[in-house]
Amino acid sequence: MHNGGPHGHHVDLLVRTSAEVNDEVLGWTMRTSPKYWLLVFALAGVTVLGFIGFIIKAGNDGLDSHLPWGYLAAGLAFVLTTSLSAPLVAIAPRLAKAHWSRPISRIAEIWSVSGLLVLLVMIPLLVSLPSADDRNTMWFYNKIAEGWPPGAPHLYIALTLIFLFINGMGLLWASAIPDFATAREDASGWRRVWYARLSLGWVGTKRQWRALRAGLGVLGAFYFMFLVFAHTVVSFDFSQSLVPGQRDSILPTWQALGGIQSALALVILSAFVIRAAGGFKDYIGVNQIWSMAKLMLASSLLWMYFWWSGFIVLWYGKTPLQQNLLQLMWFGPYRTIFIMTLIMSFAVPLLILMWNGARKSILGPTIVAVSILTGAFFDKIRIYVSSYSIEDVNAHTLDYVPAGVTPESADIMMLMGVVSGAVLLFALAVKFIPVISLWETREGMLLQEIRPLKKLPLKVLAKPE
Amino acid sequence: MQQRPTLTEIDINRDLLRPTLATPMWFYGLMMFLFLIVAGALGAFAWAINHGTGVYGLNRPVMWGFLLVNFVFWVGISHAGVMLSAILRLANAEWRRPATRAAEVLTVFALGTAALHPLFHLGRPWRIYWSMPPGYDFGRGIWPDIRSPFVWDPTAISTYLTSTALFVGLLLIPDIAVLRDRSSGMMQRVYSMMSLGWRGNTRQWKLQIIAGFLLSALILPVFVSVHSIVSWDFAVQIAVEGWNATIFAPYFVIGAVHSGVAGVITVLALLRWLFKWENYIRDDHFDALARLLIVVAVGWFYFFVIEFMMGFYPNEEPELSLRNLQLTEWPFNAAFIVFALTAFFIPVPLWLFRKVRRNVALMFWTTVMVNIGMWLERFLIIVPSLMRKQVLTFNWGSYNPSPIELILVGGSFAMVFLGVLTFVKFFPIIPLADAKEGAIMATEIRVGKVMVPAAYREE
Amino acid sequence: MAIERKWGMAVDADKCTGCQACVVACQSENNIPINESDHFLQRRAIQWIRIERYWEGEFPDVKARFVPMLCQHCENAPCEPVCPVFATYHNNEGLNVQVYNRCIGTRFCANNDPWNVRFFNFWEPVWPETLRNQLNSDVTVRSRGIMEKCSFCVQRIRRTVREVTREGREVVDGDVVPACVQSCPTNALVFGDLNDDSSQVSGLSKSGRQYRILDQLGTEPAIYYLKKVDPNAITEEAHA
Repeated sequence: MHNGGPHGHHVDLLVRTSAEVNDEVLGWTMRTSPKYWLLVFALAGVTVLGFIGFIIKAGNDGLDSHLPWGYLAAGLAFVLTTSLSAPLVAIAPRLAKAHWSRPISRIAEIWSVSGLLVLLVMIPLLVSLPSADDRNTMWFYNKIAEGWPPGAPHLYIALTLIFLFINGMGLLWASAIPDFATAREDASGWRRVWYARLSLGWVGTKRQWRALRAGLGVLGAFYFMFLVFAHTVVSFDFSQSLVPGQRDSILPTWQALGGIQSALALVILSAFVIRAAGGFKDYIGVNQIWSMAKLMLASSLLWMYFWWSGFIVLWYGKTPLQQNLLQLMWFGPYRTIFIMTLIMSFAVPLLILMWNGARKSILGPTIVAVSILTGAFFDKIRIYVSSYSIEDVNAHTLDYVPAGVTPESADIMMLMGVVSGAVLLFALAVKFIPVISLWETREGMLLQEIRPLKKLPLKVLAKPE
Repeated sequence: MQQRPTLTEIDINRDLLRPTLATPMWFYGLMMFLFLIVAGALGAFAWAINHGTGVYGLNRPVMWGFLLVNFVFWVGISHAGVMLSAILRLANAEWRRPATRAAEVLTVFALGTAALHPLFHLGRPWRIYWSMPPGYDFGRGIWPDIRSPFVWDPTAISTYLTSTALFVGLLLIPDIAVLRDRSSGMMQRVYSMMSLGWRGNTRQWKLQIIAGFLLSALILPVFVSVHSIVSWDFAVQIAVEGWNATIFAPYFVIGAVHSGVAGVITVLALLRWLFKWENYIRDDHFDALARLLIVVAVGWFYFFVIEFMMGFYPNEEPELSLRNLQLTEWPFNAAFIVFALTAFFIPVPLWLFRKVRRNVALMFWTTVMVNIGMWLERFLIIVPSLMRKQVLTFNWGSYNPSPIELILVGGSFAMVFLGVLTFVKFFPIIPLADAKEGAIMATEIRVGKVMVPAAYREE
Repeated sequence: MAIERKWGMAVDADKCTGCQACVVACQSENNIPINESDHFLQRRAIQWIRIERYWEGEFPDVKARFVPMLCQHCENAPCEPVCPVFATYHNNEGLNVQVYNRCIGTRFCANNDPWNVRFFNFWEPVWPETLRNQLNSDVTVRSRGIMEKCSFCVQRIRRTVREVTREGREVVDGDVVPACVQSCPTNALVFGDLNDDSSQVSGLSKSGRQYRILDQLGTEPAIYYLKKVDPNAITEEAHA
């Protein structure tokens, strides 16, 4: 709702009763239209297509060598960096006690369901990943002692991603417990049974709230750490250590940062869709999109800065290895893809979001979000496909630049399948888990109000200890 | 509950202008003491000019030593100013108010002191202007080589120094006007000149606020570039295996923010004790700063781990021997243990406790600790890497700092504190206007039976 | 006048006995201050050419290996771009040149020099009264606070070119002889134009025994080392 003020000054604030919030959100969650099912079937169809693509590829090339699987690795990395990073958009503002993120925090957390897909895609990649014998990995395999630590790198990638998924599901569940309890009262049939089960006997006692807040803090902090670790492990094991001589130490941190950037883009885009589909225009307003757009601008600038920091060292050094790395990763066969990424992940966000008018709107940040997601997708293709194109991963230095790998139709099918699989899981979850956090929104209404200071109506934000 | 003392504008003027208008005697004593140390350090530098660079402990291959470690340290400290002031101003964080100017002033003096270090360090200091922006000796055909990071460095640092000084000066204008109205004689004339005719009307406030936001946004790229360029002094060198890492720029920047924010907390604790400003620099400010510091520290630690691990990862002789030197050989192993404990493993777990975050003495000591650790971090990056440059073991060396270097390092600390104290003598270190605005913006919201502290927010 | 020369050197590790004659010759030719014991203890001795000694094997089966080490005059010298004042640059004869009166003493070049063959004048160089007259009048006496390094005896190159021009002929292989090469009793050092296919040094640089130290850095050193041929070698080759 907009409160008019002098000089065109207006303040965004949700004005609803608790009951209205519950009705509106739960009403949308429990109602499924034919259009929705059409979407679900379309997504499921594309996902199956991806699976068929995988079978074709596995039949043709087998899983013995890593060489054919670069595009699948890019798909895994894309889902990992975008949708599994999305919960950060809920966790970080919650730790900072910001109010703006309350209506979108659930959207961000729900994306962690796509971890299921990451776990599935991980299996063939782990099978095809070359063993750590005689090559550098971050696990120091064969260095500290023969065969130590056992199972590296395959076991540790698997464990990291499994724990990340479990942690994400735990976070999603914990933050939704009070809402399941609310939904339990309204629902009927199988929903009522499941909501009751999942709400774990929540009645909202003081002790339960305290436990919930502590739990959300701990799960959030752990998710953050697991996610950063997962970025590190994946960028190392699936990319860096496959390129002989590459020790681009900025890569893991750059990938983690790129994850935050594309997570913000993903949450903005999905908030835009949910806002339109569910009629939540009063819940998800300019304030939410604007706050994320500012962070998205900052992360886009940082993304460029991280790239430049890595580039200048390699370029200045001019050793043969560094020149080959520059050719392989950036300026050789993948130059076009790289330039696309620069434009979509840096130039477009900068040129649009530098204007407050564009930042403080719904459409501006959404357009930028689409651009960033596309850019991130290209970026993953560049990094992983180029790394996977190296035949002899045991060489000691990179003395040639392999030719670029163009995707086969099976690769394109797999990439489409991975992306639509992630969206499918999200689409299924939003019709079960209340897509706007009821309790956080209700709490936000208590802690914010509009009050005139002198004559100007301003928003008052409370910060409880 | 948060303590929210009610302060009138009269209280604020009286308390915050006390060091300026009613300077206590011990203040002059302290300044005198610091001045003597600075004079001693300048004497040591004169000695070095007179006798030659040989008075430092440098040798082949360790051509850069304590002076450049200290240079990086002070450039690092100077990152607190913008981090707190500009970012938190853009983010509209209420709790930034008392800390901003102290941070900016610390930036100005830390950066100014850092800028002196290359001068101390040079073989022919009287020729330093050949590599600095206003001093290029075009007349004699001596052009700077723009490929050299030592040309980028003075450019970035002088830009940062200018813009931060401008930032401090701009935000000072309303406060100087208050001082102008409360002083007499020569000082009044100086203050009236500096206040640029400030009368506090709507237009002037509007301009001041817009300029503050603009400068905050424009200064951010400068802030990031300065320490990145300092890191490239090291990272671009292919001859020193321990330095040639792509992660250096962001790693140095986040380390700088870590030590800089810690430095601001140290200064705030000192100010609170010296001038009894409990009502202005409150426990909840320390709490908020400490929570910020936890985030920064964890982020920095991640970069540190990646960088450190990368030494082992390629399994190459010079880097393995460098790690071996850092971890196992005296005195570097001791320095490493002290560094790891003081920069991360002692303070960060402590800050997780609310009681620690709100305890000024503990915050003071933990932040001092962080800066000891961060100084050692720079030392452990710079010196051991030079001792183990390449596989040619014949040229592996070592380094002992000379007394002259130690005096210069000690003197730099006195110089920064003397600078901050001089500022405190002439200008309010806690922004009066911000304190007053904060008092107006503070309010409460009733939730059920509880009054929750709240603040008005302008968007 | 563009000269298409590229001066270079071949160092035969098989012939080097580690006698240090080159070190002394260089010292007196190039006005290098006397390295007293203090300078060595401070690790600030200046030796434009030095003999690096590496031990091979375990006692008592131990062998000393000698590597004469001097400025490598790299094609892509890493020390050059880091100097803020262009005090060191590459000339068109393939020499890495140090301009003493431009140097302000940042010591950046010495750090970015993988071979540690750049030397800083930490102290004002002084000679005993009795040695004043042995200073070479063709070579600048450096002051303190600046960097110096092997110049391939550029003063000899210049003098030879001058004299040869006066004689009305071109410089031929063997005309230019730096002090270290001249003094080497076993002819382990060979100097010449690498661009001249008929010169001895360019022949040695393609002899099959040649290698360049830290070649993987891609700096294209102009000094070619020739492998030790040792029938009684303890390990396959000296680690250098």
